[in-house]
Order: sequence, then C-alpha cells, then structure tokens
Amino acid sequence: MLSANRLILIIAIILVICSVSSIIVSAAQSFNVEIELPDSYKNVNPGNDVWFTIKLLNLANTQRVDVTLNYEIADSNGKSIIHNTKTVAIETQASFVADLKLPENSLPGDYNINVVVNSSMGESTATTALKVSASKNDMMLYYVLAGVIGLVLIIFFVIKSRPILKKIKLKMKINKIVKDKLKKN
Amino acid sequence: MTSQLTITAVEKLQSEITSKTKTFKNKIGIYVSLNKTQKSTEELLQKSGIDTSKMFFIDCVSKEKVREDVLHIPPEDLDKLSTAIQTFIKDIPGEKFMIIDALSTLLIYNNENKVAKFVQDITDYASENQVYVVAFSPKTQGEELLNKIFNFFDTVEKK
Repeated sequence: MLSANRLILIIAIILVICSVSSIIVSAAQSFNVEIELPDSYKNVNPGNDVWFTIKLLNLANTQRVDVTLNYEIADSNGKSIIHNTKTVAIETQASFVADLKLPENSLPGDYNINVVVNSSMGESTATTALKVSASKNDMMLYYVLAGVIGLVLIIFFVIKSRPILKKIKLKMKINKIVKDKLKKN
Repeated sequence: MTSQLTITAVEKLQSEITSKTKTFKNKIGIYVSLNKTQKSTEELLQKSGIDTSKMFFIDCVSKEKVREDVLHIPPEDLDKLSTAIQTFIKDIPGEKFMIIDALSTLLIYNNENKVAKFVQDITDYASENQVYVVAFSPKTQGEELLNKIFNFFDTVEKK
C-alpha cells in the first residue's frame, strides 16, 4: 500500500518535472530577434547599400545552435525586392551586421526589412521600416525637366501674346487719336 | 444704317468718292485709303470743299508716319486693318460713316477669299453698330472678288 502511494507520488513528481521542462523547451525554441537600423539608413536612395544589425538572443540559453538568417527588403505590398541568407552559430546571444543593396530601379516609397531566423528550435521574425526616396540625380533631372518645360511655356506664352499685345497697343492708339480729334472739334 | 458697294470706271472713281462723301456733311467719318496716301486723299477732298477735320484716316499706302492722328497699316495685314476699323467704329460716338477706297486694291496683296472674309467682317460689324459703309471699286479690277462680296452689301451701284 505504501509502495503504491510512493509510486503515485513518484509519478506525480515526474509529471510535474516533465511539464516544467516542456515549458522551458518551448520557451527556448524561439529567438528574440531585433533589427537595429541606423538613422542614416532609414531614408535611402535607390542603388544604395542598407546596413543594419541583427541581434539574436537565444532564450533557451542551452547550447550552441546553427541558425539560418533570411533577410530581405520588401515593398509595401510585401513583395521582396532583394534578399540574402546567412548561416551562423549562436550560443546565448550574438549580433550580425548585414547589408542589402537596393536595386537602382527601386521606386520611392515605404519598404520593410524583414528578418526570419530559422533553427531546429523553430522560426522567429523581426521587421523594421525603411523609406526609399527619389535619388538626387532623379530630382536634378526633374528640376531640369521642369525648368525646360517652364522655359518652353514662357516662350510659347510670349509668342502667343505678342499679337494680342500688338492689338491692345493699336486699340489704345486709336482711342487716343479719337479722343484728341474729338476734343479739338 | 446701310452698306453700299459702288463699282465705277477708274476715271470716275475720285468724283464718285467726293460726291458720296459730301452727302455725309457733318457726320464723323472713317476713311480707309488703299489707293492714295492720306495726304493726297485729304487734299482732294478739301479741294472739293469737304471738311476733313472730322475724318479719321487709315492710310494703307504710305509707310511714313507724318501725322499722329493718321494710322498707317500695310494692306497685307488684314487682321490689323480689321481691328483698326472696328476700334474706330467702337470708339467714335454717334452717327458715323466709312469709306473704303478701293476694295480691289486689297487683291494685290491678299487672296480673294481672305479679302472676301475681311469685307464680310467689316460690313457685319458696321451693320451691328449702325455705321454707313460705302466701298468703292474700279470696274475693271477684281471681278471675281466683286462677285463674292456682292451679298455682303445692302446695295450695289454700278456706274
């Protein structure tokens, strides 16, 4: 009888230990992932490199594991425009510097840097926002184009308004002739 | 008001213009001179006893500006001529008349259709503004044009 009670107690203790262990393992399966994007890279032009740091914290804090870092830049619709993959080993925590070169033909707008960390313990993700502006060369092109269009419009206006101005001048002259002559009479 | 086209022999042209102008006595007039300079036209009118002090001249013959109150417009610039005539009509108050001496001269510098359009614009504007228009043309010149513009005038006189 006593033996049976002891057996039940032992089983209960084993179950509790297993349950706690399961929670710890579950928690250890996810990495804490952070992306550090310097201010100077928060607003970039097409064709530029974007440098950022991926910080990983192995919450399980048990042993060295190999993880695959998948990182990408995606547009506001979630479409990846450039990506890269890296495999690294991590024990407790680590930081990795990564860079992605924006394609020259990237359109200005809002983008995201997405990082997905895959390991035998599961998958973790992180995202941070990034803005792509029109390149300075493009802006210069716009300014030049706007200048040329402005100049053409001014020339067009001057050419078009010349006959009108001549007409107004003629009308004013006639008005003066009529007034002067009628005054004399 | 009315408009009249007078077609006459070249040798009678000046006497017809003079006698018609005399009928307007004290009215203010616009004289579009396409055949003679303003100076010679005015002299001819004055010799016939017409008071030209109430007449506004548009000289389409001479380019030289002699008097401030005379407009010089090249006969090929029908747009300018049309604008000038319409402005005179608009600016001169009261009853007025207009003499065009002589329409067919415009054919030397412009094509028939352009001249016909010019005549139509002028007669329409004059009619709207109650101006008596008398246009002269020598018999021998511009018969094609005359056929096109007959309808723009209230009366056509052949002398």
